[in-house]
Amino acid sequence: MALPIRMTGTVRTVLDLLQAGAREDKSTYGLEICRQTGLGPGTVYPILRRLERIGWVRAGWEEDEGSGPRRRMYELTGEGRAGAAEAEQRPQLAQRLGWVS
Amino acid sequence: MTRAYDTSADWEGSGYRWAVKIYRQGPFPFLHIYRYSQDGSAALMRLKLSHSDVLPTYPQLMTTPGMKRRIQDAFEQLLAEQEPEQVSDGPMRELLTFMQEPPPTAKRLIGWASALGVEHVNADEWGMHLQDLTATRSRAEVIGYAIGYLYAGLHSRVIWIAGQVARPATAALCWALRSQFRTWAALSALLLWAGVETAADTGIGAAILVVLVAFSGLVWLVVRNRYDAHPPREKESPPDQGK
Repeated sequence: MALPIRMTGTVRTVLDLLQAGAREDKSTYGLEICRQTGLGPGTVYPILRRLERIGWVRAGWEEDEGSGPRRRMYELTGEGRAGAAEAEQRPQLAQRLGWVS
Repeated sequence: MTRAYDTSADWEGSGYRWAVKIYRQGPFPFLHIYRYSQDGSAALMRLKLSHSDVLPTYPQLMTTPGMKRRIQDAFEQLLAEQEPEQVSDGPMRELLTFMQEPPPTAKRLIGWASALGVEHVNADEWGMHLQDLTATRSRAEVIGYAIGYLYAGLHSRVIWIAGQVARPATAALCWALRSQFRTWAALSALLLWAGVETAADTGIGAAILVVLVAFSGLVWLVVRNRYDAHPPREKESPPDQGK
């Protein structure tokens, strides 16, 4: 079955971060993803929107109204966890073509 | 600004002229520290700078990486030395508010980005990020981030437009592929044309090869799987209907 998203290097990086958060049962916000991955918001947000559209990521406003501005948090859904795990198992294009082992 | 300029010494005048120019284009926290501190030289010492370092080169100073942090550190020290009532009402409070305000250019960019983006949550989400960034990053970095958000907004709109335009074409393609007759009629015509052209140009062997490759590539490997548009018999039946 084909994945509903093209698994580029940047998509994989963002998914890895979200997966790490999911393992600790933590959600994260867009700016933090930019900081952690070193990618700009112009790269991260289109990826997050795509993941949201295909149902792999769920977004919602932070409920804790403590210090600092209120944030929109992102976390992997069950479908997203399964999809990300499946994507991890798949060999990269170069491997499929036999260019690298 | 005018009062500060009037009361400045001659040697400070050129620095203030620079500052006025820059101030008109956006926030300028260093000038506020310098202006509101009891002793401007003390503020400079806290920043580990001398007048000769700073006054002729305000623009360069404000684009120096880490300068925002140094200004904030110095500002916190100054705040700690003030009486509480001075901090709550005086120019220090004004300075604090001023420093927490994102650069107007960045706010404008975020406004454009939110207007361009399809998702209605962008304005709130990105506005919050801008405040977050303003507290820790230099003005240039905040504007850099705001440009990134502008790209994200533009990308969101372009994708939406492309989706709107492509939807009828994709629907027509899927409609054709969902019927064996429609698929074969269209493909047979195209393959026949390709075969005849190739046979005329190159020979019958090449024509057979072209037809076979096009057939297997187009039908089985790419198009149907890409759009999950299989004829009804090949689709998986739901478990209750399959029995």
